[in-house]
Amino acid sequence: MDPLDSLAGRLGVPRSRLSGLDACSPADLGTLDDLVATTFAAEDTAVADGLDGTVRALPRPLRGRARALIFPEDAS
Amino acid sequence: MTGPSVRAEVGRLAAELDVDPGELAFLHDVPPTAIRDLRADLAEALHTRHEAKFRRLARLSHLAPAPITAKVAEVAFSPLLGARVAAVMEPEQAIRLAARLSPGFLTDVSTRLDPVRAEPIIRGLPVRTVVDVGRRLLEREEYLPLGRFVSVVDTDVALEVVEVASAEQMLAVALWTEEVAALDAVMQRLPDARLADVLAVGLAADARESAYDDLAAVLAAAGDATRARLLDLAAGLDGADATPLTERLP
Repeated sequence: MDPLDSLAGRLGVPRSRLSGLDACSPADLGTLDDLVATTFAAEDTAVADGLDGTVRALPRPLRGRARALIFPEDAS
Repeated sequence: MTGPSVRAEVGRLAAELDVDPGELAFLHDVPPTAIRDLRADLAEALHTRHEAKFRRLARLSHLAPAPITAKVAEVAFSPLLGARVAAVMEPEQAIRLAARLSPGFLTDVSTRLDPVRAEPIIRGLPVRTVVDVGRRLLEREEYLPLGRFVSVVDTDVALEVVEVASAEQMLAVALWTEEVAALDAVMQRLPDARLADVLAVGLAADARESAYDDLAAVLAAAGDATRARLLDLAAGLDGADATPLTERLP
C-alpha cells in the first residue's frame, strides 16, 4: 500500500489532509507510518495494562462491579 | 537550513510520538503547518482510539469514594492513562479528584495531558496547585508540556511559574509555547532586564548553537510588537550581533 494512504488510513483522515507531506520520499513516509503504528501499539499496551491494574488496585469488595463497568464485553 | 518554526513543530511531533526529534529529520523540508496538522490528527486519533475505555474508567469515580479513586489512580494509572482519563472527566469531578492526588502524580500526569482538552479542569484548579505543578515541571526540565500550559493558563499564573526560572529556562519555555497571544502576553509583562537576560542566552559570544536556534524560533513565533521590542533589546546587548538573527526571521 502507498505509505501516504496507509498513514491517512491509520489516522482516520482523508489522504488530501496529508498533502503537505508530499515533499517526503516514500521511504520517509513509510518510516513515519511505522512510528505512528508503534505509538498506537504502545498506547494499546498502556491502556490494557492500566485497565487490568485498576481492577487489581481496588479493594476486593469493589472489584466485581468495577470489572463489569470497565470490561462490559466480558459481562455480556 | 531548517526554519525555526519547523524545528519547533518537529520537536512537538517527536514528543507526541515519543521519539527523539532526530528520527524526524526528514520532515525538515515540510511546511510547519503540515507538521502541526499531522500532530493534531495524531493526537485526535490517539484520543479517540480508546475513548470509550477512558470514559468507563472515569465512571469509576462514581463507584468508589474519592480517596479510594485517588489512591487507585496513583497506583494503577501511568501518566499517559491518567492524562487520557482526565481529558474525558467532567471538570468538576476531575477537580475534586485532583484535590486528593499528590503533587508529584499531578505533575506526572501533566506531562502527558492535552492542555486544550483539559483547559476547563486547569482553569478550575486552585491557582496554588497550578503554580506548584508548573514549578515542578520547571524543576524537571519538562519545558514542552510547560510551554503548552502557558497557552491555557492566565498570564498571571504563567508569570508566577516562570518567576523562579533561569534565563535559559525562560527561553526553553518560550520555545514550546504554542499560542502567539499567550507568549506575547507573558513577554509584555516581563521587564526589559529579564528579557535581555533571555536574549543573551542565545546571543552571547559563548552561546550554544542550539540556544541561538531556540531564540530564532521564539522570535519567529512572537507577534510583531513583541518581536520588535526583543530586537531593540538585542541591538543594545553588549558584544552581541543580532543582525544574522534578524536575517533568519520570516
